[in-house]
Amino acid sequence: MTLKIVQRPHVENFISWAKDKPEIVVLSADLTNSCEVGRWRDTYPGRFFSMGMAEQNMIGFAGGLAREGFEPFIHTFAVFIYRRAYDQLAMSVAYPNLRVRLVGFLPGIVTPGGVTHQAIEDIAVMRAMPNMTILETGDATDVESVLDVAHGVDGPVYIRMLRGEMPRLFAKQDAMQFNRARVLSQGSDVTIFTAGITTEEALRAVPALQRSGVSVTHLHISTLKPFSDPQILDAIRNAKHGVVTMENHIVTGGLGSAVAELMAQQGCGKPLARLGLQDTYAHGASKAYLLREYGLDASALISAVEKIVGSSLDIGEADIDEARAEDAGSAAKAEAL
Amino acid sequence: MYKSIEWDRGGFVRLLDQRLLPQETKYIEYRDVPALAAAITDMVVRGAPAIGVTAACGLALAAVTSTATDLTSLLEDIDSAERILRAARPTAVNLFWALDEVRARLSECADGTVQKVREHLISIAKDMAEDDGRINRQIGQNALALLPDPVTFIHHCNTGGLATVEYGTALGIIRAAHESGRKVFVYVSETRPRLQGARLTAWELKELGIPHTVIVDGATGHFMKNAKIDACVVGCDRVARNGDTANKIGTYNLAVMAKAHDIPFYVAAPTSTIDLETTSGAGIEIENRNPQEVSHVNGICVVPEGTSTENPAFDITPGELVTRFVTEKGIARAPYLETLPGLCAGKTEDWVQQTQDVADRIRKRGFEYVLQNNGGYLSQICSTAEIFALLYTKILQLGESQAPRIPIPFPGTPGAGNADFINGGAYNGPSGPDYDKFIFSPAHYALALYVALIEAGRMDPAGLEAFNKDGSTVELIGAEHSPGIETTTGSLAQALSQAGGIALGRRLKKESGRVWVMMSDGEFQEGQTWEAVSALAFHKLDNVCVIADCNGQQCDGPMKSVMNIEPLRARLDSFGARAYDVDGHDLEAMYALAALEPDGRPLFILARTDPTKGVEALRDRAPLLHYLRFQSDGERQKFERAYEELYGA
Repeated sequence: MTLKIVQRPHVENFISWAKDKPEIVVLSADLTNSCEVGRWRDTYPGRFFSMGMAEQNMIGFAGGLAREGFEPFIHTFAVFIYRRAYDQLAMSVAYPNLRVRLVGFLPGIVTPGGVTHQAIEDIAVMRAMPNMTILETGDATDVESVLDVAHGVDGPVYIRMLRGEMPRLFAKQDAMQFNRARVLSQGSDVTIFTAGITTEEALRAVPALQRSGVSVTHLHISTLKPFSDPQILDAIRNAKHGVVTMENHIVTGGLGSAVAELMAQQGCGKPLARLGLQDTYAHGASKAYLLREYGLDASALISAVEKIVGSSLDIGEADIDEARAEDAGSAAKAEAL
Repeated sequence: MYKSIEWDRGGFVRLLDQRLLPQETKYIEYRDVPALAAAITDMVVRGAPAIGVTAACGLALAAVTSTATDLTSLLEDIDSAERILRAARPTAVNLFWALDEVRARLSECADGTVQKVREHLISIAKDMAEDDGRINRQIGQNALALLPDPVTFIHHCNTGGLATVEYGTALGIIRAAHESGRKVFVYVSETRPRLQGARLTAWELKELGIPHTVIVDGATGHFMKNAKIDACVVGCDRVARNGDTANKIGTYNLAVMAKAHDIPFYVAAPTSTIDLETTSGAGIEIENRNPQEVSHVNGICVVPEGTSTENPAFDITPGELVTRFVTEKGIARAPYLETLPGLCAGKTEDWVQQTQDVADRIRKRGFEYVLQNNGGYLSQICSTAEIFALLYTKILQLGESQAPRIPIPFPGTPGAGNADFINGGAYNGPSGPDYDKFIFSPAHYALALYVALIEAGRMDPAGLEAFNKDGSTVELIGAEHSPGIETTTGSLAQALSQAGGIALGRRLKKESGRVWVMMSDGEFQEGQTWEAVSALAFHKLDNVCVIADCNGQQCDGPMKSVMNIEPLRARLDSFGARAYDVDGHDLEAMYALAALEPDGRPLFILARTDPTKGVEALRDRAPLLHYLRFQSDGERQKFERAYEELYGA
């Protein structure tokens, strides 16, 4: 599989997207370049507001701006949105259902920044917050088109955003759609749900599974709340052996939980394997290392499918598409905080 | 203690010879009117209020010394005495005011006997002397609302007990600050040529034990620039209707300099010095005194022989340089053409009484409700009755309520698809570029807010019946579906950030309306508040105005025992905000701050309040005042009796 690699798609895309939308303003808490809005700030200085390292206040300001008809896009690391300012998020933004866009960078284990910077339970926390919509990006096309999806939501939106170097998995014109999964494969044995960066990993594994004779349905989920896309339930029902979820998040409260709830509510009695962080914090290391360490990579997915179908598929490392090596010389280096 | 003027029972006037101070303390007795008038001219006694009372004593002296045996002759003698006294000095209006006042009151016994008129004149003079002290003390008290702690003044000339009968006007403000426990320091300008500052003010401050230092008149700018001066205070000899102020020569220079350094310039003005007949400073005669006062120091000529000198005793400071006039009847702010006549008319502006009535009704209705409800947040109502009354009747620029007079039942929470939802801000009127927004922060004060809405005519009294009832929007600790509440702030300290965002949005839209935030002092314990203050100052959001109920109380008891936040004003100032301490039950003083022109900084009015104000029975519960829950029937009955004593059964 040859992937098209894109560098920092958010930078220029957000600038051109906001051009004719004067209501779009950006609030930043001292992570402006880190969240790829430095050039946005220089392009629209009258619409950019530096709020300093003070996220609780920044959330309140965003709520106030939204009440006055503006559409604030908060740009900071995800952990500082949902962990540090949870009460403010609930009372100043979510309860009043304000059009605030919370663009959270460094979801899960994409950063070597360690436990302080890795947002591993954000989906769980945000799913528990009434009025909140949760979107997750998995490639450059998602990153570019998530803006329109968020813009169309009448209420607060939390976005798990990617930055820097990333693949383009989906055609540029194939934009993200609200509450509609992307169907990447269709089959009858096993259904795989992935979101964010785990989709790229699954795409490495699925051809090998298919070659081994496993018929796979694979859906890429970009709307985690609401979770009412009928394609999801159909895919669960059609899976002969069972379902696997793989998420860049703890397995409680995120994608795996959402699927489990749906299966239980709909009486879909079949096995479910949830890959993700198993009730543990992560630590500082490279993304590739952490994906492997915590069982979030293509091999882990193949093992899970083997268990579901009840037989060894005899797929070796050589059978799996090669992992994408990130360019260490890239301007969008992962260790740049 | 020294007294500048005294009517002696022996039928004469005693004056402290101010020309000899501070070297010598000598009293002179005056037994006839021409001598007394000369004492005014020669400045044995000086200072506008003192001159006024001296003149009144002069008429009494005329009556006592008159040999007339019939009323007509007596009145003729009084007339001629009045003419002599009127000519003594031209600038200070109190001289004329006092003589007019005596004449007016004399008419009360126009058909009396000679003896009766004599006695009446003496009693008028004594009354005026007593009034003078009372008025001066009141000026000092009124000014406290404007003064920080510690406070450093610049003071010009002499306005103390020597310039008055006792206590002083501008110096009275300094005394009141000192007596209030504030840490006071005074820069005393020497006041050439007669050195009333260096000689008299320094003497009085020394007697009073108030720290001070004397500087030359030319040094005032230097100290304004380099010392932290909080206020210039001066007296006045006559104030024209438009606020133009005649006062000791050099006052004008000081006012210009204060303006240049953004230092408030306060004029202490008994209403007797306000001359509404004179429309502007152009109509005030300036006394030119003997040029020798300038050319000679201690009898020695200090200028080359033949050099011309001029010696105007007064100058006119334009009203626009005066930050506030502090009178015994209240504080006046610009536009003086409107505010000074209102103050002098004896009534402080009508709004004060009307707003106080609203505050009183808030307290009464709140107390009544808490009794009915067998408990409630009463201390918050006691502390904020004036704050809410002032906000809703005077400060906030709001349109008509857009909400039902009787609040609707709970319509569900806000969210996409809930068309029934009504934001509680609708009680505060429609949105519009020129309207203010009111953001209510301490949601535990909800009852006080609901009661205020009723008294402001924005909610029906029957709305209170739904308070804390199941299925109601009139919630115990309201949220933005509750009447008058625009944002959800119940977890405390979140409103200021939201208000900041609203204010930023309004600035981007170029709207003139301001964003008023009512806070409680406990919220200054939260870190978010300080994040917000930083951001408001950094983004120069001077369209945010906060009025904080600083009642010193929180859930666990007195704030000082839970977590200290003082000195709050200094903390806010150091964050780049513009903060003032003020008596939270003084409507005029709070309004004076609310009316300040924005200057790039967010405004914080720290309303220092008494959580038992108006309901003394609460004091027995101190220090636990947060929520009134009757602990026994006896306590309940005690509060019922307190209510009956205040308002009747």
